Amino acid sequence: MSDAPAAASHRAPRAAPLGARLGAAWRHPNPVWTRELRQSARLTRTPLVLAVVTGLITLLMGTIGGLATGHVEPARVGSALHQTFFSIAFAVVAWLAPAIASSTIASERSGRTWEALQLTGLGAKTITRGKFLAAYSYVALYVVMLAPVGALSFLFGGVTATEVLLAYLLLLVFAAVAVAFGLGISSKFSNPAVAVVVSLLTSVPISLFVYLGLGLGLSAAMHQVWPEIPSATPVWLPTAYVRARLDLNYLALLIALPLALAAGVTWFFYEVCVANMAGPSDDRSSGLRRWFLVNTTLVAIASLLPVMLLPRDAHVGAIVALVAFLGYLVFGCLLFAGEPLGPSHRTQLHWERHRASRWTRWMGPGLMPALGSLLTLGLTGLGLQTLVGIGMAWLEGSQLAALQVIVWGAYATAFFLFLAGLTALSRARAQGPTAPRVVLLLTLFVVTAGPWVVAAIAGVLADGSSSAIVSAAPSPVFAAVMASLLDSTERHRELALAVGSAAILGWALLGVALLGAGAARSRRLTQAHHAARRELEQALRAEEEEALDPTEAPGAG
Amino acid sequence: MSAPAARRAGAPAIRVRHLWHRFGSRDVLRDVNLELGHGEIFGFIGPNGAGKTTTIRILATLLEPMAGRVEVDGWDVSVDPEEVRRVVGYMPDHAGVYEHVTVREYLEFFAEAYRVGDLGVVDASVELTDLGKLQTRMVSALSKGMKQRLQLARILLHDPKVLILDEPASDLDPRARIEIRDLLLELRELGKTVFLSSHILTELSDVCTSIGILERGQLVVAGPIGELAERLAAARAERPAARAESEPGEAPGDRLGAPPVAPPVRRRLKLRVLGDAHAVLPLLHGGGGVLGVQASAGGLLLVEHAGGEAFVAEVVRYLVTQGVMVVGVEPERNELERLFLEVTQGDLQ
Ligand SMILES: Nc1ncnc2c1ncn2[C@@H]1O[C@H](COP(=O)(O)OP(=O)(O)OP(=O)(O)O)[C@@H](O)[C@H]1O
Ligand SMILES: [Mg+2]
Repeated sequence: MSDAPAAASHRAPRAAPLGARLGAAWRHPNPVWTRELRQSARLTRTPLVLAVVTGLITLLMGTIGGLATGHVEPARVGSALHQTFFSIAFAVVAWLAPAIASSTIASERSGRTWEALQLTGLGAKTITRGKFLAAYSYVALYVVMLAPVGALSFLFGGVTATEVLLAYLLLLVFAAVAVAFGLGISSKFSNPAVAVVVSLLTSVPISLFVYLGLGLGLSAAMHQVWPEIPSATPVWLPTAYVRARLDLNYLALLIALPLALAAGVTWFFYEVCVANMAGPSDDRSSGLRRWFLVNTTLVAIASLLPVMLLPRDAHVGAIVALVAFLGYLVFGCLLFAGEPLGPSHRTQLHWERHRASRWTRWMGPGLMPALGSLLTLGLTGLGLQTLVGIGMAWLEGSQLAALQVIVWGAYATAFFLFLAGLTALSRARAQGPTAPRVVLLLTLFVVTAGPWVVAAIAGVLADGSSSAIVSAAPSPVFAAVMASLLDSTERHRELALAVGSAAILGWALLGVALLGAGAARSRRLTQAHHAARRELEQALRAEEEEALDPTEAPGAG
Repeated sequence: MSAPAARRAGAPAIRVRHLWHRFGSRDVLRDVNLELGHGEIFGFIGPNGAGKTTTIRILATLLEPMAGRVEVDGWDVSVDPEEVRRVVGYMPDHAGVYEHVTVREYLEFFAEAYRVGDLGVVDASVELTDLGKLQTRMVSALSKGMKQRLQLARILLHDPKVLILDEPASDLDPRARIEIRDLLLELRELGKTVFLSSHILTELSDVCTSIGILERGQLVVAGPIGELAERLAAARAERPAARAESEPGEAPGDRLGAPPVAPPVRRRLKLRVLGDAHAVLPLLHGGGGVLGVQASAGGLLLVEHAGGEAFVAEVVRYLVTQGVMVVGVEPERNELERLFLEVTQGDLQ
């Protein structure tokens, strides 16, 4: 059975006022950070490479500018240069920052300097922060180095100085996310080359997705909300800041959402890094649990944004929100599939020593407390979203829409219960985090896609009878079929709705049963482990007392 | 409810009880028991793969014991690793150092990381390890021996009570080895407890106050050197036959009393006589207990024998009565090497 870990050393001071902490940080900067800065300041190779990249970008910008001048009006050239430059800068940061960050912790391990660092008692958090600051300083320095090149577009007009400045600021915010991502990867590896390759293999597709989806794709959507924002411009956010009119949408979509997204992702990778660097008996759970608590609340709120964006079909927005939130909850299941069954001996002792509150213990290592938080947040979120959807449908005056929202909400809730139950049982039966995660992913795939394959085969066998579709009822996607059949007059409507409802009930009941079985098994194993531990302690103590008691010692007196 | 006592007062420097560790399905440490008083220098000897590094990593809180209890200065390594880290200075085998920093910067970094506050400790440990002249040198430009000294300087920064050194002298030339040895003696004078592992025996014999021999994860012998030698001698006298077969599952404690005994060990005695050594050869050849004699220029005689100190005294007395002018007697005594070979015979991998 794997064990879990505990909160920072009991010597850790109670959270001091922020001012005092900042003062202390100023007087005693993170030693890992200063050391890394010093080391990289002495490296000559990397700045050389960066200078070459900068030169190439300048050349490209100059060529575009030179070729376009004379043919096209200068404002359009400036705008095109602005888009080009920040697209390239985005790519450079998206690939460079994770690559730099991913080698740092891994190279301490491979260079055998890791043990000495660990034994200084700095702690995983301080080391992570130091590494983060070091990699971030480096990347930020590079972004600053690029500044004159980016300002070139400004000369042609078409973009304002504020836009360029804001674009740089956003680039710096994005660099923080990218560095945290690289650190998260680094904390898993002990070979820097492998870590860099893995970080590139993941950051390249992710950055493409972000660029095309959140850049080009979202710019089209934003054009709908604010026609002032040109569509099909990947670097739209700085422009939006300048041109969009200030209203609730502005605050929510342009400020709160991007900042929450950046903070949530950075914080997640920070906690992952800290957990990966801690020992097997340390508390590796509390940090991630705190993150999950805050982040899930934010995600639940943010997932209601479609309701705001689609004022005419608000109930559809609520359904989109339900599906998106369910997707997030699947991630939560995968995350907690790595949770230890219970606190380690050390964590337990430290809790007893410090009379840890029930809240601290609930937020500490343990599969069932973790799934408890997941279920509480998940069910509340899904319930609220369903209620919002019903409310929107009511405002629209459509009973059908309300029923559709209910069908989606019910299916999502039941299926979430099943997934949480599956997580509980598969984790309780496995030795480590890998097996339950694989089981979860495979089951998800089979259950989502499998029933449709069956339905297709059944449809062929039944000679195209439309009622064959009911074989797909166990797939959560069937909620869409149910919702669309609500107002139809098709013959198989009654059957499909009945089978669908049965599937919903089935998933919910199965989920509850799996949760019960997982909880029971997890409790049994934890108790057995602690009993064995106590027995061992007793045996050791007995032996000690025997050795101390002179009357027992042979030949005494 | 009262909190369990964290630290045992008056505890020995290191205490290992019923320590087991397993990698995969292989038991790497099997019921190791060990106790080490403050101020001792303990030599932890064993063939490659015996489990020395594993034991050491557990002592240094880098690995968690699977069963048993391990305490350093009264702190349990699996309950209070942070406290153990405060009292321990650990030097890994083949450790790395940060490149592109100077010796001084390297040490200052660790002083800050240990939060020692006063950077005067850097000067103190530089002085102790004799790195004064190298302070501005880049770490990457140091030789192996210097790097090893730098590591020693590093682990002294937070003034630990217990030093744990994994093969501190491997890869070092004889001169650097002597320097490290002298440093260890100096540290002992400062009241430090030193736990060091090695498979090079000679580097330890004159610094260690006690030793432990680990073989396939079991501690076969442990105790002060002198005491061990006596015990071995006694066991040899009792059972002069061959080495006793060790029974499977036998607890190390049982073996302590009756250690396995090797066939007669060849020991060497160096004698210096006035005049031609070759003339003395006939006197010694065929003598009881003499296994071989060699003479060389300068009146040097090399006698191989299987006896103890009494035998040496007897040889000298006999030669003197025969009119040989004996001017020097130098029994080649490497107790440790002998102990090691006797205990681990045949198991050196
Ligand atoms: N992380 C590990 N995973 C699996 N096996 C390991 C691991 N570390 C050590 N071992 C095995 O445990 C055994 C003991 O190793 P250990 O390093 O403690 O030996 P040692 O006495 O220090 O040897 P040496 O003199 O070569 O340094 C070896 O057989 C080794 O292969
Ligand atoms: Mg070793």
